Amino acid sequence: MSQNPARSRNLLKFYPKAYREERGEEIVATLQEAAEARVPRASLSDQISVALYGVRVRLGLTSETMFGKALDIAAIPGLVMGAFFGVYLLISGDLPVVNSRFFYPHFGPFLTVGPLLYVIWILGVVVVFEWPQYRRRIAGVCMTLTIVGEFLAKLAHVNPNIWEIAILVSLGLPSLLAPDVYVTRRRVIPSLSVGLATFATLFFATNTRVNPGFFNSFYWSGTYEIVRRQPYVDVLLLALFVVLWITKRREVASAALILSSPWVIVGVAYPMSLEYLQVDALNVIALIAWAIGMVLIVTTSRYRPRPPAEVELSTSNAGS
Amino acid sequence: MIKEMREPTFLVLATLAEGKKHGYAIIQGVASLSEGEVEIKAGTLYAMLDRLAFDGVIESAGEEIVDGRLRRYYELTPQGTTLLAEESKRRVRVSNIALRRLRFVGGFA
Repeated sequence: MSQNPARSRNLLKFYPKAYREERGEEIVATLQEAAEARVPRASLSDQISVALYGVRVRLGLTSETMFGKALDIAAIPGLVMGAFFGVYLLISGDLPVVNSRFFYPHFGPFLTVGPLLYVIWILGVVVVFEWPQYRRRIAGVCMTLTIVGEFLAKLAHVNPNIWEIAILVSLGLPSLLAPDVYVTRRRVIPSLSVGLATFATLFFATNTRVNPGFFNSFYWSGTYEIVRRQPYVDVLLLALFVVLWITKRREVASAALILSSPWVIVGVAYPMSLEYLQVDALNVIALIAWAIGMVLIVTTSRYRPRPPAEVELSTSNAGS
Repeated sequence: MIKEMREPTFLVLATLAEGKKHGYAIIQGVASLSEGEVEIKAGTLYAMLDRLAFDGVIESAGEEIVDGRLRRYYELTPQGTTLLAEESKRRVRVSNIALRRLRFVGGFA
């Protein structure tokens, strides 16, 4: 089956101009040859894969770039962080609420989908540790079910906490976007360390004297406590980032920056969404520092054409 | 720098061990070597070629226009040749151990 070359060339629009000029004709030729040999369905999947790789090159999400490498490092720890966040929400939020005579039966696991979502994330991590090559699909499932769960929760509760949903979904993004598909490294110890550190920080940050042991995942005070203590966490994150950067572990430093994204963003976005809360200036400074770091990572990850190699151009009508 | 070599990468390098090849020839070579088990999509192929070229394992080996289509050829670098040889020996060594053990327990005819 032959394929219209114009359609193949249209796929090149997904690529940055420099890449298109360097490799475009070569990719079109490969697509044409593949289309002539393969069944239509295989040809379509070739086109989709070419388009997707174009988007990755454009966004700097390839294995060679700083952004791509950082996402590969952050992928599994991100999922583990999400699972530990779920464990924290269950222990500090849903379970105390269901035992509380003040709040029962308005909140808690039997009226919201929170615990179901946490279990999905925990199971997702267990599966990823066993079969890391499926991390992208598993992250997709966890993220989709979390978003669907948000809508289901609205049926049971008028005001589910959108910020926790946003944090959970964001923590799955590195796995979804990481370029390496043939993953074999599980990163169990670093991932569990990241998860435990997240759990401990959240637990001690929100377990206040005013509200001991209380946190409801679909209520409001937990996010407030997280955001209130965010500046302390920001200082720790900044110190970690600086140490990693100075010790030349820049890809790990970038991964730490990526994993801190949801917390830093929620630290500013949550109080901004409420009229009666003021945004902490330290959280704003942290957000600006984070944004500068991310811009640096993304800009250094842009595709740059290679210096032209000395190639011999010949013409032939022979087959392969 | 490749720390661990996955099957598709091994197959691409093994295909290039035969000599310089262009994009679709590599796809065909991988399918043939793996007896149809591994089928590399065009987008995946270029992601792999970019990564391998970045790691210094393969390099461009000239261009040619055939039937009005541009073909860019790729070949193993000396580093790529060494890497493939080492990985092949490792796989042979592990396979031989496995086969010896299977004979030992009588599970291999």
